[in-house]
Amino acid sequence: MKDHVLELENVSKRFGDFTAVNDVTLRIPRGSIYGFLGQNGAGKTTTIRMIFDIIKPTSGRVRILGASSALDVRKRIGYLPEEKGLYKAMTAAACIAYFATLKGISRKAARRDARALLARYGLEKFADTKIQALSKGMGQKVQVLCAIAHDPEFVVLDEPFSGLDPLNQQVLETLIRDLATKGSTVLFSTHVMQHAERLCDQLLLIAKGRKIFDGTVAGAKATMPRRVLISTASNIDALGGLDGVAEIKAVGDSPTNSGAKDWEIRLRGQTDAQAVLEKCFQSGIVLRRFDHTEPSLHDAFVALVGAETATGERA
Amino acid sequence: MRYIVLIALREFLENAKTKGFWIGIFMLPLMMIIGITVSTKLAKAEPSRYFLVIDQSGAFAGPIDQHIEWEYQKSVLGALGQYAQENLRPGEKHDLNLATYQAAVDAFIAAGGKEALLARLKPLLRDNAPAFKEPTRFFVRIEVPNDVDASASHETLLAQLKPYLVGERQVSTDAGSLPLFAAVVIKPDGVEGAMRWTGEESIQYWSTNLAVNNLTQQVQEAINVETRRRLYASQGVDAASVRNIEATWSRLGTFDPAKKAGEETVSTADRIKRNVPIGFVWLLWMSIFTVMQMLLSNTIEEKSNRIAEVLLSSVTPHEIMMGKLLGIAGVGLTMIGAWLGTVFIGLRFWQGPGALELTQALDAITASGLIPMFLLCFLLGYLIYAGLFLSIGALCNDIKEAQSFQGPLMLIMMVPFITMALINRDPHGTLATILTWVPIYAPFTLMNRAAASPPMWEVVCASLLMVATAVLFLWSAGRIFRIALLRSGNRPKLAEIVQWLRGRAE
Repeated sequence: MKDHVLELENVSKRFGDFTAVNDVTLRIPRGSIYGFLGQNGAGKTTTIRMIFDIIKPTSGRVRILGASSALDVRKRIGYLPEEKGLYKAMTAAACIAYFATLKGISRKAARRDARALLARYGLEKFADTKIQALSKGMGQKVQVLCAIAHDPEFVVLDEPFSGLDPLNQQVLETLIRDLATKGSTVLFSTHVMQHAERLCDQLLLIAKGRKIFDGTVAGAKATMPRRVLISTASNIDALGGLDGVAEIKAVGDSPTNSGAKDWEIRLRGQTDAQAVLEKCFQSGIVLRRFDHTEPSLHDAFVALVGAETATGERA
Repeated sequence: MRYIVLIALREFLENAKTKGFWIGIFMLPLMMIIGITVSTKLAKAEPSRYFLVIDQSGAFAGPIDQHIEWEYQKSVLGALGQYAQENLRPGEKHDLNLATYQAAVDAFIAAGGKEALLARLKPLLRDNAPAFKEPTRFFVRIEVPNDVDASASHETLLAQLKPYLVGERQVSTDAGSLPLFAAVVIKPDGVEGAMRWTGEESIQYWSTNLAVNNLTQQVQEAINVETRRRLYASQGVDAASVRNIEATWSRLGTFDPAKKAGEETVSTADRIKRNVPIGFVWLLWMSIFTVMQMLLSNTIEEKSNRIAEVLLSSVTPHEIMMGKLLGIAGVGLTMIGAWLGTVFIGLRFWQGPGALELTQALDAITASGLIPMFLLCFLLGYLIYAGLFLSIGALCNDIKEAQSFQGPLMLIMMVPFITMALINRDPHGTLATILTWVPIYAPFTLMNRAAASPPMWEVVCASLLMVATAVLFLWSAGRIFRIALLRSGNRPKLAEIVQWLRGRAE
């Protein structure tokens, strides 16, 4: 059996009539970087709070590092909440050290480690600066360090990239990769797909509290129907008869090729776009443009969430 | 427990480490000391004021001079008393009368005044005692200036005096040219006017400075003495005998039947001790509400800055709450310790008037159960109010929201402050009894009544009631804390909070 740092089994959370998390089952293997995607209000933060036993699930079971409550393994886990904040009057080093002591590190070791950690990420000159004097991004980096100062096996970062400039986002990406290299498991939530695409081994996508995808990035993209965009002035009825073409949609007059029209051709399953190109030649369709791009994670996300929202609304 | 201690330590250090905290602590006794010292020093440093007397009746100029001189001798005697107290050889006792009541001042003057007393005092003083410095003469009478005609009509006289009185011209004194402070003008019918209304004021006091009124009092007293002397004489009574008889001062011993046989006398120390609870109540009030503000703002900081969520991933709400309670209690006790320490040490080394009585009172306070009682009242009061303030802190999103609670809370909090003196005056009265049974006021009331030995059963039952209230408030705070700490947005409605307390909602 594979070693899992986190297991959720049919976890649901209801607040009165509102279901924030609906029957989510999840297993996060040790050593992976796991992306947790979802719209605002999809239930990400509620799920994370249940993982940390800050709130109790209405039903279902959470096991974290083999324990039934995060407090039993608090020394081995780290958490960066979505809404960031630290004690304004404390210095950066004191803050990091304080949270580390709450994770069981001795006061002396915590103070030493805090400075080492700040130095490793180029923040040593801010060690004795009070939090209130730090910029927002700097404060956020300090808070990330607070979450990992005790070398946790499992780290949950809720929206760690929000509010950071591109350079600092890069620093944070490095930090997350460092953690994984050292053997820690990282679960981070985001709604910026590029980060997920670059960092994640696996991802979990939820919408309206329900899990709608759990797997690899490639797997997520594969759920997207492939499509081809063409511009032509010719009649394209012939393409409609092609096996593997699910739908042809007129997009309108081509803005770049005068006299031509733009069409979107949706393909069935894993149909190769090459087949469409061949058919065009065979049917004498004169192509002004033939565009076949891989779907991005962003497209997959929109498509998956869109589908779920639609079914949700029908239900 | 380890986590509670860690949180408590942070709370304690965060508050106790700031300069503001210590400045605040020492500001209080410091302000008191500065206030007392500066006002005494300023009073001593007050300059002499020059006045003149135009007595057209011829009856009062002499008596005014005599009385002003008598008042000055009284201040000399007072200063000698303090001088003796400060410079007496340790352990030395003297049988000199240094009190300043009328007969004592008369006796002092009759015995030869300052020189005679100093001669008797000298052998009793420390070897390095400084020389005695006479106090300033506050009021000095000067001669009427040459261009003022003392025998002129009242209107002319006033016209001539006016430039001096309003400061346009100065009078010559032994210290140079100085402004005239006041003029006493007595019309020819002054003797008659002193006894009855003659249709206008026969004795007039002119001055632009009406705030310093000692001179009017002294002049009036002089005229009263002289008028009475004349009346006695007209009745054939010897005025000197009357003055002697009037100097009689009866003794009244005060006794407390509750004290041990043979020790029933109520001393000054006893009287001080009886009034000490009011000081303790004040201290209790100040310390409890100062630390409550800290508790409130720290809780709100954690909530509004979303620190609570990080904390909750490491510790339970219970641990956070207990840590805060403990840490802030430590801050409160530090504050009280610093205040009491300063006061005790300050009074111990106080050399001024009443030093002996103060020392006795301090010993009495230390020996009595007042300090343990104070600690008990602080602890119970702290826990009761902490329950309230922790709940409010957890319910409010920011300090602004908390301020809307402050208004009604202030009113509630003012009650012990307002009733402080009333309860002290009547420690077994209706008000005292009622407030003993209101748990949020009981700590202050019991403390206030402590020196008057309230019935034991009342103390025990009221304490138990306070313990029960503290438990209830803290239990509720625990529930509210657990749920409200992570909530943001609208403040929950009362009905919702009741649901939480009943454990229905999450």
